Amino acid sequence: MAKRDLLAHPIEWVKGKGSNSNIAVSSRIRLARNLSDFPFTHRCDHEKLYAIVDKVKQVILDSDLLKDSDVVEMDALDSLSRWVLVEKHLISPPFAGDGPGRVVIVDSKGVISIMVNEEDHLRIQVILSGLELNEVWRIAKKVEMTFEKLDYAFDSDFGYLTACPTNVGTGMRASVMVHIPALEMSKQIATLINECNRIGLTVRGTYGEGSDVLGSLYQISNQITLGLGEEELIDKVASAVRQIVTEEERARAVMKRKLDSSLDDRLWRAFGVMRYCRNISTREALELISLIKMGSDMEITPKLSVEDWNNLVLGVQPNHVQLYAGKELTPDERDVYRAAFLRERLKCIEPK
Amino acid sequence: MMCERCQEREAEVHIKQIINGEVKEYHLCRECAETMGLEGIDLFPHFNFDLSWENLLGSLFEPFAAKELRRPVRTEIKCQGCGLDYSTFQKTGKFGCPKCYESFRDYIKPLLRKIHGADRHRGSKPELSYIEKDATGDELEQLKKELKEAVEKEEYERAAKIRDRIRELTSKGDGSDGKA
Repeated sequence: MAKRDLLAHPIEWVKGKGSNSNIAVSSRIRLARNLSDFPFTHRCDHEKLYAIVDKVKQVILDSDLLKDSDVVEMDALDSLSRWVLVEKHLISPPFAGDGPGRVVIVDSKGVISIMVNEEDHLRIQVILSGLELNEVWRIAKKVEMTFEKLDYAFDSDFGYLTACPTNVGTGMRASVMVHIPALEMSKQIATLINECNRIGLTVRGTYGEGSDVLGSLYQISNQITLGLGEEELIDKVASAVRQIVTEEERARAVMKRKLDSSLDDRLWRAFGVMRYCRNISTREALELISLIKMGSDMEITPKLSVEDWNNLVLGVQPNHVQLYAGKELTPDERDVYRAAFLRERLKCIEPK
Repeated sequence: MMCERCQEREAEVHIKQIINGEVKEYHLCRECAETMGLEGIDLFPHFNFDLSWENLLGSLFEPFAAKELRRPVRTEIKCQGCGLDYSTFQKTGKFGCPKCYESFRDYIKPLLRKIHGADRHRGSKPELSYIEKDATGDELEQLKKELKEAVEKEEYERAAKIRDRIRELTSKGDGSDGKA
């Protein structure tokens, strides 16, 4: 339960085991649930928040699925550790802020994470690598049923009740992170966003609501949570992602067929910059990592496995850089350590 | 002119909105205009439309919302569970407790249709069966009330739909009370 343990915790989605994980990086499902006998989190006093935490802890002790999990109070973590968890996608950005009664539960494999007293009492999250939404849903439902004895707030008209009406019904957000640099380069993102919106899907940046798009990583998720069943919503996201993967592959094939010296140069230059840079921002680092991954997938630059790529993407994030340095850093210092991290990691990927 | 939202007070705020050439006018009393999150009303004509999420959500409420919503929403409508009043919900976009959904049921259906394009859950349910039984009972009561209301208002098409739903619910049981 010590914070170091949680930061060194294995994270399953990073391993790149799922299907299509070179483009569909990870699949995630989040379920929002509330206990019927309590006000929503933002209207709970200290005592009620901890009463909820106690109930949840009791369920975990009795659960075969979750009994080996880490249960960590957010207040016991320093700010750096909290933001490392955000970067790993184990908790949401708002959850990293201050406030009493917030607890995160992470299972031993790093597949399941449960936020207690986020906007809703329970935010159950399951992430796997690749396009694996059906498996993710199966696990999420299992976890959700473990807590059912706490008596979920449910209404036959409105479904699972949530603090915000945008989550009511299934309380489910299914999202897939996709890496689509070729669609970006061929200026197809606006069309993609329009098409997704038309069928009720949202396209967002790497860290969800309001976050920036970095390193050509986009999140595709269902916009609505009410009026359709979970499987129908999942199906919608999954079939859109399958199509996006096909389009990205097609765009890459076209690029490779008429590979001009400027793209060839751009991919190799990314490799060179990463190898010799001495000061680099998060944004630039993620752009370069995206390029060398695309170059690797297209068999132009040296092979970069999905796991190594995911670790690079995580490693250059501001809080992971500080973790790497072993101390808190100013933004300028971070850029220096980030460059050192990249140089060190790239040593093991040798050009042919 | 009366406020088109509450139909109670004199309309003092007149808004003309032109979006893509489509002109819309709203006539509101000061109180309603404020509840709708149009802060900085004194600053007209350059009022501060703060496009935060809460206000976007607020924009889904009356009078932008459907006709059936246009009955007076008074601040005294409070949740029986936590005491949250409807106007606070309108401002923050967040409910206070699960019972808010019950307390504001009729008002939030049009809102949910705006957000989700639907107002009925079709996904999974808690396995604990007692909840479902209770809920069906509640729904039946509610439908009977709505049916009576529809007939009184001579909205026969709606009444027929409600009747069908009642049949559907009652026939799911043992059928003995479904042959009325």
